[in-house]
Amino acid sequence: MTRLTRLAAMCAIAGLLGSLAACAGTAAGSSSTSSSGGMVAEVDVYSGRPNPSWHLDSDAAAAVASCVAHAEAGAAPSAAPDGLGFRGIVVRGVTIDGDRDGSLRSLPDRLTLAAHGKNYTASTCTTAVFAALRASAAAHLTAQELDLIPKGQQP
Amino acid sequence: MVHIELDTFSGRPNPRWSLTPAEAAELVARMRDERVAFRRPEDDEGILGYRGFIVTSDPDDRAEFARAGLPARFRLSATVAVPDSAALEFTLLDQAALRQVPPAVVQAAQASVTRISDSSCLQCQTTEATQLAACFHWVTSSTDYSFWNNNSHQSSNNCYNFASNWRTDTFAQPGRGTGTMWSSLTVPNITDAAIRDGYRTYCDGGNLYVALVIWPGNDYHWYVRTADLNGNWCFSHKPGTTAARHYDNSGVTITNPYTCNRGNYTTWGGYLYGPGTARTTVS
Repeated sequence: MTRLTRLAAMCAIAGLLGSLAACAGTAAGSSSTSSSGGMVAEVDVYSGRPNPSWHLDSDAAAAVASCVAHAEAGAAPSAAPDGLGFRGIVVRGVTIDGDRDGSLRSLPDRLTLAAHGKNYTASTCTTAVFAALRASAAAHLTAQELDLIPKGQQP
Repeated sequence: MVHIELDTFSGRPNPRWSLTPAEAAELVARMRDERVAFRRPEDDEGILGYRGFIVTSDPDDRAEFARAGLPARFRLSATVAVPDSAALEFTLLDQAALRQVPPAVVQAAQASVTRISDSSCLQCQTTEATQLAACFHWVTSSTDYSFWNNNSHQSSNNCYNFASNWRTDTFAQPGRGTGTMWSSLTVPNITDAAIRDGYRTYCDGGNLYVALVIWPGNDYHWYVRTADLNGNWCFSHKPGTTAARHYDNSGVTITNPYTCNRGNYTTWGGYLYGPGTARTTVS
């Protein structure tokens, strides 16, 4: 059982106990400062202004934690858009394979994770994570900011 | 309601369409905020092919037009001497494509506007070189961005930092360093904030040469002139937290920020100079 799989099992147990939201923090072994285990999401879209950002709430944090459990290291991610305009939703403070400073970039059609200076992929949860993050954004951002995020596909 | 006529045909009636209220509001706002030059409707170039757009407001919209300093009916047609309606004409041509205007007609008009804006830019550069002998441009590298593109600084510096060649790690905002940050996403407001930071509308001695563009209602962006070791210049930019680079959204080297692929940053804000040694005010 890989470390990530063990963490997934721990998360599943935590979920049964009603604390799945804290799972990202549990996996991280970090002191959880919020229901999201301290994960902050950011819509990477602006050039001059600071990007809109918010602390992840429990549902989105659970989706991220579940996804991290299925991540595979070593796979080369397809290039994410990096020009002017929407470049994805970035989540920082994600614990991946023991690295508490891991990050996740979510787009409607791809998802990449980075930790330990390496890339990870988790293609099976691409749609679900994007939908969860967009739903979380709807609760925290203005309607105009929300419009900057593509709607994506239904999971 | 506001009506648009693409003045291009000779025998057939010109393509016409009406704007949605949101499109009409954007057109009026851009005419006002970008100070776009317009002409009398009958003032065309008398040529075969693309001659610009004729914009007509219904009586209900005339008060709004008047508040923006616009007549009820006018022509938009960029020329080499007065090219400042070109960006708006590109927007209207995008609308034309969506309104079932034949692609060949739209493409011919786009080519015409592109020729005018490119010629205008060359003329502008020649004029600068002639009139401002003491004017020269400081350029940073268009091949080595390691000062910006590294784990310690890339995410905390934005397009304004990069254009100003001043790495503050504060995601610098126009005007903030001198006490009054920009307050609305319009060309005059952002430009005035940059001028407070030390930028100038004229070239004087050594200058950075930067260009401002705006994503209406959402954001602003800056380009800066850069050069390689052989002195071949182009423009570079740094979209937000991403890496600095010299190519646009199409992956093409930027020789003209006016015509490059700028994504949603459709409003052209013009060029500024400086701030040179005064750039330490940028923050």
